[in-house]
Amino acid sequence: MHELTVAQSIVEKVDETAAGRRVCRVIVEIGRQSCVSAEALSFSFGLVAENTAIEGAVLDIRAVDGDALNLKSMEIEEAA
Amino acid sequence: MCGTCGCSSSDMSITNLETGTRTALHAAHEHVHADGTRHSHAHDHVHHDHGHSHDHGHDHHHEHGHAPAVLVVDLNTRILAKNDEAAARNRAWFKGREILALNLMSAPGAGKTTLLERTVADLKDRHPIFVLEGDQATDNDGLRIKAAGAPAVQINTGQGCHLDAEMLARGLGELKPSAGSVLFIENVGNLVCPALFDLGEAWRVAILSVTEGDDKPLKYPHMFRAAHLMLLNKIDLSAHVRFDPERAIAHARAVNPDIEVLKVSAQTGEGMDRWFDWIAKAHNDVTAGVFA
Repeated sequence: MHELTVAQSIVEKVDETAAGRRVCRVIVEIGRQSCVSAEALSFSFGLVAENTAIEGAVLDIRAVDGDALNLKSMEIEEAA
Repeated sequence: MCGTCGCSSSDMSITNLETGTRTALHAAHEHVHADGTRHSHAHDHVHHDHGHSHDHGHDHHHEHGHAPAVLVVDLNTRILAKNDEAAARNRAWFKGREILALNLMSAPGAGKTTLLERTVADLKDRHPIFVLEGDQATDNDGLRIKAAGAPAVQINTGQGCHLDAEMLARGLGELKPSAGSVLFIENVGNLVCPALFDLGEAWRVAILSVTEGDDKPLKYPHMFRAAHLMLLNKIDLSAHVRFDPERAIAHARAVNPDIEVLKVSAQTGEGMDRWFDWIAKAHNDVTAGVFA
């Protein structure tokens, strides 16, 4: 359940920064001791990203040591 | 669905048990969410990358034959940064008012509310006490605290499994704990999620009862690592259950060598004096005597 809140926090920050531009990838670091499940987070991310600029974006989860929960970077598709 | 906590909309509320006023919490979340003015769009590094020089393996389709343009924006922030900011505001608010805020967390049924009832009844003449109760539903716990003699506000989280710092701030607005007081925050009964969310409290207290397994600190290490104090509750029942208090303490110290432990029974009062002394010392540490 807390993964939904974590996903919501990611989407809020990314959506705000994207300012309407299309986001194709979001990279996060999830600590192995953080009690956040990568599977549940991916699932929740898909749900909360619906109808935002992040819809369809890949959530790239990188497992790290400790209990970090970091939002590293995002990739925006630029109009060619 | 609620924009902040993912709860379904209508069942999140704050009830001021002094006035009986119930306020839906959902509207506030939307307001916060809509408030874009506080957020900076400045970023430390923005890379323009038109040639796939990074190795993230894009699989988007670009039909026109030229290199797809991808802008990489470094964010480098904690995912729960917004909660952390709200927690920092709460912490500063407590500090300025010399309020001792304690975040009580446990599994459902470990005896948090009974412990608080006893604490309120026995300590209300020593310290001004205020209580914020978190539960998914009902005012039952808040009403028990009120009956024990402390002003209480009930926060219902609906589907939410934990309190967050914004909810606490809203609850504080209703509760209005007085300067120099002790504030107990009874978190939603859950050994996983509440440990993730800093509320701005001075200390986190985990409550483990002997009717649970003595290996719980190993099963839920994050909670016991996050806690400063563990109360081993219902200690009067330990002769009747297969729970080895010393093994539970050893397990807690295995995940958190610095954790303090007190054995108590909220029901019989055993060990409660040491808990009250712990509160008095913690309270003394936050009060410089300005409001005392």
